[in-house]
Amino acid sequence: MREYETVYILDPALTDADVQHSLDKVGETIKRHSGVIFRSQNMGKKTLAYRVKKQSKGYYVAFDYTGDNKLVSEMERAFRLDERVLRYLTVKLDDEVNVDQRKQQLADEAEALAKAMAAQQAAAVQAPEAVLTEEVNNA
Amino acid sequence: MPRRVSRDKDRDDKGKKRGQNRFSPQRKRACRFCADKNLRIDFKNPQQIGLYISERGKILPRRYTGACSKHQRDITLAVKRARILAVVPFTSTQVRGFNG
Repeated sequence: MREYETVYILDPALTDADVQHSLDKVGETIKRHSGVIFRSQNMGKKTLAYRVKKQSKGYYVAFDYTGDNKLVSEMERAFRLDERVLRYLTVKLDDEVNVDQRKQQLADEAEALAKAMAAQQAAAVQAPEAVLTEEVNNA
Repeated sequence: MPRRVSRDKDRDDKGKKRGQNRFSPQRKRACRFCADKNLRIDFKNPQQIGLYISERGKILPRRYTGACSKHQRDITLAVKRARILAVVPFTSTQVRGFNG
């Protein structure tokens, strides 16, 4: 199974519920082809760098998943037919992927990130004290 | 304009003294992607891609990005992908009259 990443841009006139609906639909397609979703997210409404189909904004939606070429071609066919999709891009991340290992890796990464954030916050709170003790030590 | 001599070559051939006279100070910077293995370039992130393009939207050469040849190729690919997804412009002229 290959790992792919697909990003597509949706019409800015849609609501968040519509975007979620589209997200679910793509998720269903992936599951139907016995693919596994590692990550799916609505990245929110963003300003485009240039106009696409006369729109200057759009919802960015990103998917990380495994699947085969049939799944990708079906997804892209659906995007082409759907007028609400302004632009899409599929990128192959890996040729052969071990699903469990990759899931574990992603979980570890998320955990590390959360830890780093917590540490940063703690450091920000304790920073004045730390400087003080350092000065004392130096003296 | 004469072609600029590569720094490494200059140092090897002519020794330190001459190199210093010509282009001082000399320092060699490591590629930031090689220095930090976890650092990856993400074509969806406009702030990150923005570091590697000029004001006109051109991809910056290695002497500005400081990347090694392998990672410069990664940067190039990421910028090209970001252009397709309208994360960064193909050219700055596309931006003109954008708000119409």
